[in-house]
Amino acid sequence: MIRSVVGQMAGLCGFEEDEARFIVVAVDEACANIIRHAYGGRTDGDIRLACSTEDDRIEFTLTDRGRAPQHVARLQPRSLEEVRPGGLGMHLIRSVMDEVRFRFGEEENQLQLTKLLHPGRRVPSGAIIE
Amino acid sequence: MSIQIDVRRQEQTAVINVVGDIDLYSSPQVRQTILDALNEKSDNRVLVNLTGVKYIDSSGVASLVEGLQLARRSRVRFALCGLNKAPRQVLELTRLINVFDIFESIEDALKA
Repeated sequence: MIRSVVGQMAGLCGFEEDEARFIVVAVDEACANIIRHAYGGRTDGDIRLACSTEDDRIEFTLTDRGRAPQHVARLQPRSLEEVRPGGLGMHLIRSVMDEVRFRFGEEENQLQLTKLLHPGRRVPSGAIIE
Repeated sequence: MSIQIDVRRQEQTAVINVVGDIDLYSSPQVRQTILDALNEKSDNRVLVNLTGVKYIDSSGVASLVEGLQLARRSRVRFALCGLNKAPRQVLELTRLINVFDIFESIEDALKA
């Protein structure tokens, strides 16, 4: 369901079909990372997804109450020179989004993903989604 | 969306047909089917038909990479076919598009 909603939001904000599809991939990968790492594979942990827009961007904030990573380096994309499974999710997220920010707290963690519209394009009025 | 996977054998090839999204939930099933087909060692080639796949995430890509690696170790040919736009774009983003043998259709792959 998240994929469908995120895709529709991106479309409403003026992203073209391919861009919207990439945004869906990035947000989906972020959710998968939370399930894998913050909730240790459990699928019943809460993930709150909020979306906001400004004139030139769409921003997704994912909040979870799982454990913060002990090694932040594990959240970095790995080099793709070596062909092997694993570590691809963060590479996809960073490839698609313009800004990726983490905030780890005692009670919850936040991941903020920002995608800018191309210069000269603006989010249409009426497409504010909170 | 649930996933459907079946394996058919033709011309010494195990053709794995996948229909549905390959994501965190369904990729373990895809991965196991690929590894089982390779471990049987009864075919010269394993072909993953992705015509029915509109979405693949990094766990799905990782499953394909794992299959490719096992195939190389087992000296079995491993190929993909029927890539839709979105899965192709994900493989491009991960820069793995060129490590796989990719064909338009099952027929093209069997002819190769």
